[in-house]
Amino acid sequence: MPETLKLDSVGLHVLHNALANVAAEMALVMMKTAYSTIFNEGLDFSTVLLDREGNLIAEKNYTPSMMGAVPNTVRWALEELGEGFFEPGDVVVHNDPYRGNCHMPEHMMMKPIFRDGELVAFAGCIGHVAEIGGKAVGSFASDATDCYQEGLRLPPVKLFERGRYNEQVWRIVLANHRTPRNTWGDFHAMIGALNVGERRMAALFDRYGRDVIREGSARLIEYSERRLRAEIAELPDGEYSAEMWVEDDGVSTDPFQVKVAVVIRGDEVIADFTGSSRQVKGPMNAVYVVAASAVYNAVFCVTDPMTLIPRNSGCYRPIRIIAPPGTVVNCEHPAPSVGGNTDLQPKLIDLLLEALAPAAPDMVAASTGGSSSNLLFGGIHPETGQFFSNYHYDGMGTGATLSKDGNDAETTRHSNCRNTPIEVFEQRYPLLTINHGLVPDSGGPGRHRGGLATYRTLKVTSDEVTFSALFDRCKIRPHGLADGMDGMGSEILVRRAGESTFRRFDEAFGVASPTKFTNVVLYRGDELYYRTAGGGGYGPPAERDPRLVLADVRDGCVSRDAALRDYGVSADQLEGGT
Amino acid sequence: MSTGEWIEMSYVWHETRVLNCPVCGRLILRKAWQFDGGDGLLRVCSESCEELYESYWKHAHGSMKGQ
Repeated sequence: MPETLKLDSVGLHVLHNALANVAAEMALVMMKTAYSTIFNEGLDFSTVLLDREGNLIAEKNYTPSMMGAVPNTVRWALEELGEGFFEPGDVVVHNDPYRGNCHMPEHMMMKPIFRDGELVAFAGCIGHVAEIGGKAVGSFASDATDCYQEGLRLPPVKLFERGRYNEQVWRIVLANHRTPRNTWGDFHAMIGALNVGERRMAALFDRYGRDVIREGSARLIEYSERRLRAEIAELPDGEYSAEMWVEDDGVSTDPFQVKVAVVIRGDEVIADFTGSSRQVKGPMNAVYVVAASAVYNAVFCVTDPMTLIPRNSGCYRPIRIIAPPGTVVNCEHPAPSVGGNTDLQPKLIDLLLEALAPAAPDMVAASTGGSSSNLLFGGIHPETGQFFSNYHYDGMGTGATLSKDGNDAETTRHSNCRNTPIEVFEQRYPLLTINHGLVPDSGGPGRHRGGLATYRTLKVTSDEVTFSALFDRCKIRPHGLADGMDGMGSEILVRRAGESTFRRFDEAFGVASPTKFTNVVLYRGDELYYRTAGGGGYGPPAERDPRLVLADVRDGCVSRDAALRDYGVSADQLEGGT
Repeated sequence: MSTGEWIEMSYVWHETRVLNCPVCGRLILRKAWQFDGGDGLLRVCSESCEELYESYWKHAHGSMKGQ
């Protein structure tokens, strides 16, 4: 006999916490059992629970870039395949960016949950699998011109069928990834998370009864929708526009443009990207759910930055997106899209916040570093003789706001990921970290200063390592807001063993873009240096409190030259401490 | 008042391409919402997309030519 759970405000709170805890426990399983550093250190994944129609009811969202995928991927798979496709014990995987995933490396796994033969819910886990084949080690080809160069694309297929391995699918997957052992471990970590979600949800259904969980979940969704609509209604009605240029697509050196009109009407928001460039040749295209993630992110930033509203499908209902097919915000098959998620998405968020600045000036920020600073490498590990591969990223500066400086060394606004500690990094990979730190003067000057970028130098300690990179914000720097100044741009350089100076990769290797290249081989003793981008400043630099400039100089965040040049704070003032 | 209707789309399991909604860009899978957009019949992803078209899209960008 189920326990009674009255669905009043207390009961709904109990149910919400129970569901959220299931999602959190799933995430813990994922973090503790995955093989790859991108999961157990980087936390580049999210775990979710959905009702039987595919509506999101709870999540542990480590990575906001997946927000757009979560409410769509499962629903679309359900719509395409039909409810009858799913059987107890099944695990379905897919990474098709044209069917709702953020880009090819992102794999969504979903497991139907049954009670007494009835489909009652789904558990889901979405994560960035670090190696999925394709032309580049780490499956991040900056010069890809179609999706087939980006790795193995899986439409929704069963990895497990009624609790048994679907060996044919596993064999195809493992034969096409460069590091199949990692794929095996990471896939099983995801499946382990789903199994925990299934068990805990089954226990919840048994404890409170199917009708109560179903009704309670529906009411939680209604509650979130109501709360978000109320927040949107507080914003002034109107149409707010912004546009930006993105420096290149990795294949051509031409910039491309994104335009957005954000319409606030009553308690709903429309984000209309009409007028943006047609899809580009290289992999900087976003798919629909990436544009959606950016819109959700920006709207939540200005309406519910502390995540007080339970994140479920209700939060997404008041937000409507127009992403014209065939453009850089909704590319069509077979356009490549790996960088659209990592490097266009953060800039879309910046763009949306810039548009919303007149409507919510105290809730927006200047540009972030705006690039995930994707560094991929792989080769034969000298100690194991096995192929290794890794997807690495570092923090950058975030944009300053009306009330505070930007944060230093933070991964992009859309990722929330962590970098890999040097101790773990050096144990796993034949690369020595020569140095790593904050970049002085990289934060855009302003009344509030942009956050600082980071730098790192790596030295190859094996015979050879193959590198690919996809950095942005090199030629077009993160912009300031409200007369704040731009942040410092990114760069990535190489110094061959025996050479005295670092050079850009386009100079050293003839690649098209200085920060986007694929499969460049470096050898023992070669060094690779990179710098992420700093955040934009907010407000005129002359209005910054000189005591804060002094503190920045003392902390090494701003040089004495920059203090004078950008803030008008002289050496005398600095030395006098006034 | 909507005058549209749901129509079944042809679905072939071995087709690898997908179709996107011409108004909002979302996926159209097994079925589409068909309505008269003023310049011919439009097939969109949902009934609410018709409302988006009528209340916003058409005013911002003009009538969409029917498919």
